[in-house]
Amino acid sequence: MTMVDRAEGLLDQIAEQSLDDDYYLVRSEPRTLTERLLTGIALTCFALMITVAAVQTRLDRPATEREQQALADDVRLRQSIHDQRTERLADLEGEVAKLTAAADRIDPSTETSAVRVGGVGVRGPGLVITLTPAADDGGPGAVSDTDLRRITNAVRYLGAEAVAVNGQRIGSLTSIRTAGSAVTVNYRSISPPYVIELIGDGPTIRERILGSRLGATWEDRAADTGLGFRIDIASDVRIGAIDDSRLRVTHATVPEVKK
Amino acid sequence: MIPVVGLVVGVGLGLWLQPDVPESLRPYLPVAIIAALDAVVGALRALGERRFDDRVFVVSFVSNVLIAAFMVFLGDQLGVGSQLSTGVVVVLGIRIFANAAAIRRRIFRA
Repeated sequence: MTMVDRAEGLLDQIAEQSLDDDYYLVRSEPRTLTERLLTGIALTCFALMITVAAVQTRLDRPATEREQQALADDVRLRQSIHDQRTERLADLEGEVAKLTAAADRIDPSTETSAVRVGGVGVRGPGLVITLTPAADDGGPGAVSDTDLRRITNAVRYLGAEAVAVNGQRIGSLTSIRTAGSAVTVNYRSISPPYVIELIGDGPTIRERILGSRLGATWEDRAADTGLGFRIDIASDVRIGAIDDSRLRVTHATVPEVKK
Repeated sequence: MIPVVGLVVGVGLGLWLQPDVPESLRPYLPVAIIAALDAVVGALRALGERRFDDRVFVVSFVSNVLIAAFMVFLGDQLGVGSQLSTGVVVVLGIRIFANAAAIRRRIFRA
């Protein structure tokens, strides 16, 4: 006998004995009123149970619906909050743009500052200083990052409004450094010859450079080592704006957290 | 007459009182109803076969309901509540169908 047969046998047995055996016992005495009343009470209980279960299920249904409704309301509320915040964000962005525009328009010093820090491109008469190294051994014939720093600082001091080295604008955050064998300006490598462009009163600045100790030193070095040192007056110099990332100082702040 | 009155009174009481079944008793109600239904269908079949006995019916009704509820309780305590309930419903279901089939055969001769 397999398990399946045995299981089927069990089910058959249940089906065969579906009527309680006691019904097959024949009783001689007649039914009493108490017994019939008990039957009625049992049937009352039966009907009561079914009714209660049905009523309970019907009563529970609105509760589930209410819960669903509450969740839907919650979702809608949060969506509207989200919409409000998106709107507010757009408003604030517009306000920022307006204030920025107003600051540029109203305050004339903004433009001067922007030119000084290199935030805007400029065009005008000026000078072009060309330095051609005669060697790259670090000696007097070579041009180092220190040389470039000194000369760019000097020309600003002597009256240049905007300065660029090989097209890289010199701003308040600009660094001129040696990285490996190359000089970097604003973290961009440049290679000789080094062309320093500046905007300002060309003839005057040129005169000041040549009359200063800096100019004398460069002329001596040029004569001794053969490096190229030229100062040309240019009527139209164009200097671009500095890269935005070298224009801003950013600080981390801890945002306010609502408790 | 008494059985019909009993049924009507039961339905009426349920609709009138609309009692709130406590949360702890809710799992017992469906199984108890199936057990009671088994006793009722058995009684109908016995009635048809002219073997009906009030005492047997009342005893089988009460014991069926109590045992079914007890098995659900036991299953809950053992952590297999749903399996035991399923077992009870399967066995009682088979009995209900078998008795219903016997009644049908008697009435329709088929």
